Amino acid sequence: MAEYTKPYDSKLQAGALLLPTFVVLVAFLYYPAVETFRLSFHQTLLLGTKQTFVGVANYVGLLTSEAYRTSVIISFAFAAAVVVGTLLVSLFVSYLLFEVEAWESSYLLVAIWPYALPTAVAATILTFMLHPNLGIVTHYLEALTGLSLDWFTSGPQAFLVVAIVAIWKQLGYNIIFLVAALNNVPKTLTESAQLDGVGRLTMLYRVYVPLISPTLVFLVVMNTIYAFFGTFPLVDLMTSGGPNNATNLLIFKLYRDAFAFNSLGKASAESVILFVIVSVLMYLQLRFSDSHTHYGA
Amino acid sequence: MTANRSRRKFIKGAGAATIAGLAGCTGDGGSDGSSGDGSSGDGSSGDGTTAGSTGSETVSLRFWHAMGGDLGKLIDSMVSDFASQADGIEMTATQKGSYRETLNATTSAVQAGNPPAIAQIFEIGTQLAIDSGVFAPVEDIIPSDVNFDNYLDSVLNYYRINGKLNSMPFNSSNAIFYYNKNAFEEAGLDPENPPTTFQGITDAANTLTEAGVVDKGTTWPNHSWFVEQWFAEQGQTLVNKKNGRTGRADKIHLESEASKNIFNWWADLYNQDQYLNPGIEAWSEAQQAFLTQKVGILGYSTSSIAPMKQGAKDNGFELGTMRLPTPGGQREGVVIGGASLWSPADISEAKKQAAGKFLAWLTKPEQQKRWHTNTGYFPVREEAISELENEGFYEENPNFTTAIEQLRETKDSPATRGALMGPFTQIRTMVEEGYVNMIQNENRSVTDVLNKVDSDAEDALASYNQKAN
Repeated sequence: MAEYTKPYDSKLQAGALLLPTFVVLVAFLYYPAVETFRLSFHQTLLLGTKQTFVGVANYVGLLTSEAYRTSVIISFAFAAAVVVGTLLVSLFVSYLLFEVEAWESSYLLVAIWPYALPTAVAATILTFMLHPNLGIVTHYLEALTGLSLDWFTSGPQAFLVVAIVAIWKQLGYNIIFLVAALNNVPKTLTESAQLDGVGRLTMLYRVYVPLISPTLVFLVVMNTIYAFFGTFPLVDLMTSGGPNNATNLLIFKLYRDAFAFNSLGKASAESVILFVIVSVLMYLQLRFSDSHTHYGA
Repeated sequence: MTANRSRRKFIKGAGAATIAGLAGCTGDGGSDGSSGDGSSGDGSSGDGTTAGSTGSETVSLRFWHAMGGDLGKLIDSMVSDFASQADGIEMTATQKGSYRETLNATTSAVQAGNPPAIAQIFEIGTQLAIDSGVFAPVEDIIPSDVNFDNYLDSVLNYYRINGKLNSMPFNSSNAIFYYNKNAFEEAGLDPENPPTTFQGITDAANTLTEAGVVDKGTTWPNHSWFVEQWFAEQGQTLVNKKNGRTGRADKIHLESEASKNIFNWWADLYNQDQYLNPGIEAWSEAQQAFLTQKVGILGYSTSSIAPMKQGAKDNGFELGTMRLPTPGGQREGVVIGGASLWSPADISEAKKQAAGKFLAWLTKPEQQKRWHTNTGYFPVREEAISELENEGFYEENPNFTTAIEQLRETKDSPATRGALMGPFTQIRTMVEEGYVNMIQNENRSVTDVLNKVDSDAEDALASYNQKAN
């Protein structure tokens, strides 16, 4: 055991091995984070060519801005839709994949394929497929339902389209973890439950879900991060935050304020707030799950 | 159990690290989703070409631009032509992404102390570029033998601020409308006599759809640029202080009659199902709808005459061009759009001189003719136009004439010189979102939306002016 805890001959060796990681972290994570924090107390012109210290004015401005509050509400609604939607659909798909007997790996491959597509590429292709006037999907959807769809103009439709694409994009990631978790459930449990005559859906919700709950917690956390940060390319390429701010998520808004509208100071403040929001959310999720998650034994 | 516990820890750690990472360098967000204004390529890519002599006394220049595709290739080839005829100058042209990305890349490079000698900046970034204080007026670096009398006034007037030419106009364009001659003929409209007014467009659109030759009459990108052109045509300045040219603008005229004329007509066109909404600044979607003959009329930029003509030919119809339609046929003139070339103040004297030489060379008639005929962007020199006229170019390519005539008819006034303001990009987005807001909900009146956008835009102006002063 002692050998196990002391894998290196000297502290120097351990330190030297840590150094590259540490340098990368400092250069690309901690330094920018500190710089962002500093900039959030400044007002800037362009990308910081003129900086004036303004104290908490950027924060006050944001918290009193109606546009920013709307963006916060939209981001939370979007995250809720994406996290819940992704988990429900991927749980269902994973359960089917878990149960299926033939062609198992082909199905799995197909299910996780979308995840291999870069988000920006997916967004560009889907924009054309779902385009209100030119899109093939929209064309047939309109022909089938008789509805007139225009998500370039209607806010709720745009929100729905981006949320669906965001869920679709994240399915593969969830399915990989869920199928693995389901396969880890002891076969004996499945067999004895089957002998007791437990139905398929009851089996999923009463037997499997509690047993794979650690994976579910992990996915809730990762999906939340994804919904808040990873969906930027979708918004940027599909809606640019529109129509009329219906999809103006915090991550997109701060990017636009910084790089399109040239208010780096304000955008830094937004970045800090977003960081705090997601950290608190993470903490709450993990605290809540502590009492509800089954970690075995 | 230990395995689960450690995974649990890993989750916590990974989660925290990911948040910290993503929040810390939000700037990276742009690089994997950069869309910009239609051009591609990420900020750090170096798909440029280097050319020129490699002697010991060579000055090497970097030219950053936002032109993708064929335009980018044309620039590469012009740059290498320049370098091969200039002694001791080596030059590299690099596309830095969209206009916005090019501006950001340039300012960052200036701050890092390693700027390019020449950067292409879009027209609405002009005030921002001046306020950033990192650029030197090009008038000071252009060789003294260059005679500005031969440059088109309408082009120079946009970039001449307080009597000084700050940047060299390079790719200038304005808005014209394209139409499908075959569709016009089928619908019984005169293909040689396109509409010239707002009402004319509405009527033509209705005739086209009634004849069943297209789905909807017309489209153009939901872009504030068209609105700005229509302001100018009506002789209305966009902002006060003579369009921001005699002082910092703090009032915007979106609540003016001219503005209501534009938005009432545009919203009405949508409500009549005659305007296909391609999306905000959606150039390629609008073009696509026109080329696939879903619409018969397209509002677009003069910069695409050459490719548009080819596109129409590929899709089996004949392309026509018309001047920008205006309310009641008022024609004060149009505003020059596009971009100009800037040179940072903080570069060596040798580089400044070499950059000046390049700019002078680039705007010579010969180069301007090549640029104009291959794209549709205006030449910035009178001689280029007259030489092309003598060569019979415009007779063979009548579509190019529309744009030139529109430019020549333009009267010089504060309205047609175009607006200068710091938060121009932000205000453009506000105007575009304002239009979406109008058509989203029929109960919302055009005037209410305009008043709202007007006051939001004035807030943005005030906050920028406070920062810049």
